[in-house]
Amino acid sequence: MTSDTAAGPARTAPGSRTVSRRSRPGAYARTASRGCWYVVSAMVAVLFLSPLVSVLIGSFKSPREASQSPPAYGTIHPSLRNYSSLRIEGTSIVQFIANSAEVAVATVVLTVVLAVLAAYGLSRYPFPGSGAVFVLMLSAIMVPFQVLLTPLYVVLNHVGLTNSLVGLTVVITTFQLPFATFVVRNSFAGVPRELYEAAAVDGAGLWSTLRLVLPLARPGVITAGLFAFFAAWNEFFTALILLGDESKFTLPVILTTLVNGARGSIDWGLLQSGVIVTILPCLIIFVALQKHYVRGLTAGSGR
Amino acid sequence: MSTGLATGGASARTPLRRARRRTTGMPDGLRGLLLVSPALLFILAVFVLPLVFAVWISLSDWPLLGAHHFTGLANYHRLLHDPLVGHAFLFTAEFAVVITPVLFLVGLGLATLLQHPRRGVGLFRTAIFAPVAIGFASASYLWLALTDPSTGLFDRLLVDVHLTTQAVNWLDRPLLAKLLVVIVTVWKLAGFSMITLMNGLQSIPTEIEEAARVDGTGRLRLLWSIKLPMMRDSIGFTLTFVSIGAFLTFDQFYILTEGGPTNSTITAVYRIYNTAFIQGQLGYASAVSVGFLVLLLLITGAQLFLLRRRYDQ
Repeated sequence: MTSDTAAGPARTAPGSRTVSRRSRPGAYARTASRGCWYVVSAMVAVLFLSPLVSVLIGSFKSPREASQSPPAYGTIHPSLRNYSSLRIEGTSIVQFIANSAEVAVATVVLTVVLAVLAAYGLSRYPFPGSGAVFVLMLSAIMVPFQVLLTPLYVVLNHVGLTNSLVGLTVVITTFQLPFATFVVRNSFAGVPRELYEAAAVDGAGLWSTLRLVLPLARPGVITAGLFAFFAAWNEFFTALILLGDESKFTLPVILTTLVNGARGSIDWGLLQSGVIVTILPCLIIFVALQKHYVRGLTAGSGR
Repeated sequence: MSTGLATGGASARTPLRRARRRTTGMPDGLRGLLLVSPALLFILAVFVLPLVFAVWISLSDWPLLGAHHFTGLANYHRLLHDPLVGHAFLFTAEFAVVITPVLFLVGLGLATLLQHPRRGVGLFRTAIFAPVAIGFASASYLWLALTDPSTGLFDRLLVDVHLTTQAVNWLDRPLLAKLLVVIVTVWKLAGFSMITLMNGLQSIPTEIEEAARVDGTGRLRLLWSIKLPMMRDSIGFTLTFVSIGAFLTFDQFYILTEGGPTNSTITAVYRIYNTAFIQGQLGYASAVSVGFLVLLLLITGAQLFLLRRRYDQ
C-alpha cells in the first residue's frame, strides 16, 4: 500500500498507482495518516522496549540509587558495581555464564547433528516404519515435557544424570528434536533430485552426498540451531528441578538464588544486572539472526 | 512421506537405487534406520520411557527418598477428591481462557498496524518481537524489579501518569497478582502472535482488499468476513500454540506470585512441582500429571479436530 506523498520519492509499483491517484484532495489526508501511523507505531515500539531499557539503566544505578524510593528514572552516578559484584556466595557470575553456555552450545550441536541425520534418513532412505517414527516425533510435540518431569527425574536419577549439566542437555535436546527434524526435513525437500543423481553417478557414498547437499539445507539447519539455543539458554523449569548444587546452576536459576537467598532484602541493582547478563546474548543473537527465527515460526504455522 | 514423491518421478529412483547398492551393498531401509536411530534413541529414552514410567509410578506410593510400593489406583482415587488439584486445574483453565483471546486481539492489532512494507517498519517489528527472544524466567525477574512497590519504575510511572495515586502492591491481592502475570505474558508473547498472524494477513492477495475497497466494503467488515476466514490456518496455529503455552504456565507464577496470595495462583504444573519436589510425593505427582495430560490431549485433540473440519469445508 505504499502510495507516493510529499514525504518520499515515487516508490510505488505501477499497479497500485490507480488506487492512490483516485482522489487528488486525498493526498493531504494521506500524508496526515502516514504521520499518524509513524506516531502510533513508534509509541507501541517504545511501550515494548521500555521495560528492557529501564532495567538496563537500572543495572547501572549505584546501590543508593537502586534502593531509592520513589525510584529515579535515570542515574546520575552510573556505576559498574552491580556487574563487578555479581557473584553468589563467592562464586563469580562467570561460572554461571559458562554453565549456561555449555548447556546451550551442547544442546545446539547435539540437536543439529541428530536432526540432520534423522531428517536425511527419513527423507532420503524411507524404510518400513519411517512414517511411524515421524508420527512418534510429532507426538513428542503434543506431550509437553513439563508433564513428564516427575518420571523423568526418577529415570535420570537412576542413571546418575540429575544434578548434571549433561542430564539437562539431554532433556532439552530430546524435546527440541521433533521440531528440528521437521524443519531440516523441509529443507532437504527443496534439494533438487538431479543433485542426488549426479552424486550417485560420481559414485559418491552416503557421507559425501550428505556433505554435498547440506549447504542447500542450511536455512533449516540454522533455524533448528537457533530454536535449540533459545530453548537451552532460557530453560528454567527443568534446570530448577534437575540441578541441585549451586555451582552447576544456569543463569535463569541463579536469578532465583539472587532473590530467594536475599531473605527479604533483595539487592535490586544486582538482580537487574543479573537479568541483563541473562537476556543480552539472546537479544544480540536474535537481532543478528531474526530472519531465521521468524522463518521457523512461519514453517510452524504451515504457510 | 518421502520427498521423492514430491520432487522426482518413480523413473528417476530405480537406476539411482541400483547405483547405490552397487557401491556399498547396504539396503536403503537399513541406512534410513541407522541414520534415524540416534534421534530415535533419545526420543525412546527421554520421552517414551518416562511416559510409560509415569503410569507405573502413579500406581505406587513413591517418595522422593526411600522405598516405594504398589498401591493400585489409590493415587487416582485421591486425585478425584483433591480440592487443591481441582483448584489448580480450574485456575489454569481460567488463565488460558483469559490469555488466549487477549493475545489474539493484541497480535491481530499489531499485525494489522505493521503488515505493510514501509520505511522503518522492520525496526518497529523487531522492537515488539524482542521480548519473545528472552526467557519467561528472566522476563519475570525483569518485571519483579520493575513492579516492586518501593523501588520499581513501573509503579512510579503509573503514579506519574495519574493512573494510580500511590504505588501498587501487586502481590497483595489475587486480582492484581493475576493482572501482573497477564501483563508480563502479553508483553512477552504479543510479538509472537503478531508475526504468526501477520503470516496469515500477508498471504491474502492484495487484489481482494482493493476489490473490496472499490465495492465500498468497510474495514471491519472486510476483516471479519473476508480476511479472518482466509487466514484461518495461521489463526489456528496461533490459538493452539498460545493456549497450550498458557495451560503449561509455571515460571511467571513461581517467580512473581509464588502461588500467592493465599495459594490463589497455583497452576497445574505448579501443583505437580509442589507435590513431587516440595512434598516429595512422586507417585501422587505422577497421577496428577497423567490426569492433566489426558485433559491436555483432549483439548489439543478438540482443537485439531475443529481446525481439520474447517479445512475440509
